[in-house]
Amino acid sequence: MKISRLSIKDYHQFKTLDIDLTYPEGHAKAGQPLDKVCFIGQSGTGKTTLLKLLFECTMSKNGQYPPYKLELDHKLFITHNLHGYETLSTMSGHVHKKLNGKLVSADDLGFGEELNQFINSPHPFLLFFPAELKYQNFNLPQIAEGSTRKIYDFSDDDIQLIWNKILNEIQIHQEKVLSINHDITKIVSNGNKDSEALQQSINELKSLTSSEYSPIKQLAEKCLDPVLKKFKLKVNTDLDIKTKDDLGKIKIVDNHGSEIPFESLSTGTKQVFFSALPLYTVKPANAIIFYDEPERSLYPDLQKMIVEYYTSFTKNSQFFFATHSPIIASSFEPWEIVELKFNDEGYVVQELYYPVNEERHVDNYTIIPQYLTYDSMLHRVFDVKAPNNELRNIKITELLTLKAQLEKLKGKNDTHFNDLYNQYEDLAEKLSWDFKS
Amino acid sequence: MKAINKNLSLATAYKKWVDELDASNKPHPEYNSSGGKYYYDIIANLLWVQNGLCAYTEMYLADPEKFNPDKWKEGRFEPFKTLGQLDHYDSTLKKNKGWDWSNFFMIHSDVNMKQKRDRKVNYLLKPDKPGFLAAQHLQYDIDVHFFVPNIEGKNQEEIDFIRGEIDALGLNFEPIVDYRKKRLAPLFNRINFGRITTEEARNNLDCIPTAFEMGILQINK
Repeated sequence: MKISRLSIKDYHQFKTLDIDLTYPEGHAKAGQPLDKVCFIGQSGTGKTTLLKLLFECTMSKNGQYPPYKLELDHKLFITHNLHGYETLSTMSGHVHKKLNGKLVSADDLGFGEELNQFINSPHPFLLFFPAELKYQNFNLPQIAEGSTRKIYDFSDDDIQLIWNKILNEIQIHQEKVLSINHDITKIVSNGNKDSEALQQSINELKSLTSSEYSPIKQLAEKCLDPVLKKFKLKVNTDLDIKTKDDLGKIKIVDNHGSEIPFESLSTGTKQVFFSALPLYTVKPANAIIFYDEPERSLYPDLQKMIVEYYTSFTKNSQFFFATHSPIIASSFEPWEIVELKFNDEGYVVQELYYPVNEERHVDNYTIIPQYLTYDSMLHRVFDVKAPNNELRNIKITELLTLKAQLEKLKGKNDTHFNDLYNQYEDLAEKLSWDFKS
Repeated sequence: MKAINKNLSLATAYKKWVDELDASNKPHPEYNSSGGKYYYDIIANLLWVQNGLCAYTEMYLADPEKFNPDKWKEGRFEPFKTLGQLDHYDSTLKKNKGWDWSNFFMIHSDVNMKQKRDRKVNYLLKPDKPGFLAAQHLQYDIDVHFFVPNIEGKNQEEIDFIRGEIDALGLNFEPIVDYRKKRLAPLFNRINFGRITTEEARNNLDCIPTAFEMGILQINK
């Protein structure tokens, strides 16, 4: 199930917001729901609100609803596809089908039972990552329940739920390896070096410690090391059990093999770990995943890779991001960006990236984030009027003046020319030889 | 920036008031844009003589026709909304000569608020100066869309003065440069490749005429 449209009416700052979440005409996937969506917009335009509403509307099921949900019923609809029907869901979980342009309750059409069963049954995986993830410790001894859950809201759930599942798998694997090691030692100490049992145990050990079967090696290769290598760190995949406490523990080491305690890792590194691990662990397919401000505490190089990194863990899933970062936003195609803006009346509207009087067609899009520098992203997408320090343009004026003077003096290799030239090069270097505003 | 003929022929009520004030040799009442009795008269008269453009950056502020002489009643103009703000060219005169006509210009709000503020000026690029001709002081770089001092026949001190004035008046303020680039770069390109004539481009442009004309000179070099 993927969301293909979001309509919201008369709710707080939203007067009439109707967002098409499908690929536009001219695209290979024209008409299909977008694989990923990025909400951008000034603080207060409701990015996080929309993310949360989409999440809650998608997971809606019968039961008690807080007042705001009831208030929203029949004000917010999301369009998706259930069993081949283009269907609209409301906050309270009522399902409707659009018939001749009118909303008709699924019950009235006689297929309500089927659709309501769907609504009340476990949904495809839903994961919500708030801007601030909750995590306390890297290693907790107890194993949390939750592996069978299909909805994770990390605004309420501690991300340890997922982390403990991984640690449990690692511990079970380590205990198996230790057990086989013990068997081998026993066989060897009994003097049966050539026995069939010894060979069998060795083979079993080899297989068990291969990347294919080792959860810690898999975790290192597929999830953590691509990020850790940016900090010159990696997961220690060797079986390094000195005490009982080492069981079910993931050790991060530097290039020299020294262990780095989890507490010493940067906030950004922890943030990536804990936001990627649930995806790595659950490996969701047909999921809807929500990330609020994924750029939190991340250095720009990590922001650049984060969208691709997260999406790589999933299959046929739909992602919703809300961000303030031009780096994150530049990972999206123009039709995947939903820019929210206040209009003159103070209501939030979507800024379209194609002329209003033109068809929503890939060829009509005038803003293509992937073509823009981050400077231009700030100008054209984030509407920042003067992203650079005001001193920069003053210095560019100075440089261009020097250039004009040098052009006039070209050929005169005297002290004045040399002084001006040295000033020019010095300033150009400080401006990174990039003189365009 | 073009020369501005600051003819005070419309806001006659204000003119009478300020002339009497000056004749009495008393300091002007404290300047206060919201409380100024003749504020809208002043800015309407300025927008008329400035052709609806910012006096320094030539960004579009208003349709000048809204302020033509037919719209005035007994030297007064009704309050209205505008994109621009009233600037005291020399902010040091604000204290005692806060209502002096010759020190007033209508300018782009962002330039006023974020760039010019109370920066020191040296009267080199005051657009109502008798005989003012922008090309004597300025050149336009069409690669980066910046104004630069015209260094021809000037010593280092004069060049530095012009540069200081360019900065103070916000001629190269980042959003203004970006706007000029956005408007002029495609036009210059079309002219360069013969897609449109200079005249067609000129007719298409409702602001930044000085940058355009200086740019055309470079293209035709």
